[in-house]
Amino acid sequence: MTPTGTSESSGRSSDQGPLPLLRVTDLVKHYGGVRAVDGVTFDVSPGTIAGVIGPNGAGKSTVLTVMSGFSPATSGRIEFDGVDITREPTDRRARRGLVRTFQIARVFEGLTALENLMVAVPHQRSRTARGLLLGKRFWGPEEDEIVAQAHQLMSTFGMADKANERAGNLSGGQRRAVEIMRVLMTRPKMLLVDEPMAGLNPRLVRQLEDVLVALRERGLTVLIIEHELDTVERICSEVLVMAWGKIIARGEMAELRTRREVQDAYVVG
Amino acid sequence: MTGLEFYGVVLLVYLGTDLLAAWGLNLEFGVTGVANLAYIVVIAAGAYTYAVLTLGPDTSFGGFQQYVAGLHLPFALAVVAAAVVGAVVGVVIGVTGLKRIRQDYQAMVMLVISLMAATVVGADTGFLGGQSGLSLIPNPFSGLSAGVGDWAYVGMVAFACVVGYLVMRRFTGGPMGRALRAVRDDEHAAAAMGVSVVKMRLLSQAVGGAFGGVSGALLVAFIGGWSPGAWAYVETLALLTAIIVGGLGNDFGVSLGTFVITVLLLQGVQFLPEIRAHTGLTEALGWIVLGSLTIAFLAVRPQGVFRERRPRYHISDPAADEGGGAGTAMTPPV
Repeated sequence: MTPTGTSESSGRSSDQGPLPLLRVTDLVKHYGGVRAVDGVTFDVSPGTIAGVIGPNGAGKSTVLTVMSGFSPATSGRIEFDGVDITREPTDRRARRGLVRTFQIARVFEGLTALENLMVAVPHQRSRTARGLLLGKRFWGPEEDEIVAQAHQLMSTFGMADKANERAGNLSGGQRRAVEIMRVLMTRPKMLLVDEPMAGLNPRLVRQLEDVLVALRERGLTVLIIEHELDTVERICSEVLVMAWGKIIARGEMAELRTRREVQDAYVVG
Repeated sequence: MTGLEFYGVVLLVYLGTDLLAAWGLNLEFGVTGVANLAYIVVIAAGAYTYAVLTLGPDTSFGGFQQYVAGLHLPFALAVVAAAVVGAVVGVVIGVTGLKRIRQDYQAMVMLVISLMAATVVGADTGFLGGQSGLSLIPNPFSGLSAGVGDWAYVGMVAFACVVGYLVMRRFTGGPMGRALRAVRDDEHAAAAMGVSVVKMRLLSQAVGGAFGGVSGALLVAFIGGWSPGAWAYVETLALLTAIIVGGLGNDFGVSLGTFVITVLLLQGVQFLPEIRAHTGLTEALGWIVLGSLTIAFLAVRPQGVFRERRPRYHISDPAADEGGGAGTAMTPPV
């Protein structure tokens, strides 16, 4: 994560390192008279895990909500992979590869765990007019591939035995795992993860940290909002601190712990 | 044809047209999660479309009724037109009622649309016959003898139901049904996965509307008359109850629910003895039972008698299942 201006905005690489995958410029979000986000600017480089921390009410989740398209920005600009996505709807951003998870894991409760994963695959032939007209002989082979891919992922996450279980019957940890797997089925370029460790026991927290690190090693970019500062320190290369809707500090977590303005924000905020 | 035989014919035609309508509404409500309390409007749109496209000029029968169009199209063409109009009206209702508001508010908007539509059509006598409605709507088998023509009509409705069921399975089953159910279960999560919620809902409204349009056309061609009194908003509630009792999203359950509610219950109460001191109470009893059933099922068994079934997929390669076990373990997907 770098302040705007340190990377080039064109589609070519620069001498200063890879171009940002996500660039947020002067983002503002008002709710009536409340400035929930007040001029936030940052970049996220590809293949990194960036963290956003801050006290409750700092505007962290609002930034994520606006970036993912669930709430329109009052002003400012969001670029993803070199494209201005500021006014795009959520589903189009997701199809570009910018995908989010939720603070409380949200699953499609009436579908099985496996179906939760299958529904996330983009550009399925079965959802086209031709697919509806021609039926299974048109989309059957693709469907078989999706089933195999979803099974493979569930096995990797140790949940193969839950594949045909209704998602509504799963525990909190299992739902979180389904949500992460479902996101991976979208073939994302970047994950926006909102407090994924909330409600998980310490063992699952460490496992989820390992998952995120492994994903980064495969080239995925992650922006994580998290209250668990130890987690942030373990997995995030760069951290952005928010308070009162603004970015008040940025850098590595170990160094940020010693900064006075960060400590003040947590005490006062 | 005896009176009993004709009554059987009437019940079968009612059942068939109700099935088409219930499947359409189930696609919208049970599968996609849109509580379309204006569904009767698409049925009415289909019925009026069929009527005005087949009745001929409004002077044909002595000019006692007024309506638009004045065409005299073949039966099949008029039914197709009814399907198209039903789909268009369904989409228009969807665009109007599916703004970014909660499902309960959407339902209220839909209910208001239903009331407004009946009021507007009922008030404008030069448009579709106003409160008097339209009559002498042609039956495609009117040239045949009474018994043969009636049973031919039953056969045609049955054929429409078979075709309708197969078409509906394309939407409620398979990957399309999965995507629609994802929208129903959590529209925000679905959008976050790249599913276009608006597109899915409007598709559902269009297909559901087409089914309603065909249902209305087949019904009106049989009974020969149509007026705002035939499409009061409570008719939608009868279909909703059939879906809730039979099983949301379950095509078989909805079919059985439709038989129980629209035939056994709403027709059955007519055989109860009239209570002299309270005229109309017997008929009202059907609606009282219907409302009570809805409340009871929503409270005790919201999934209905037949719960929606989901496909089970089995791993072809047993080696891929080695990770199974605790079910909560998460290991890096490397």
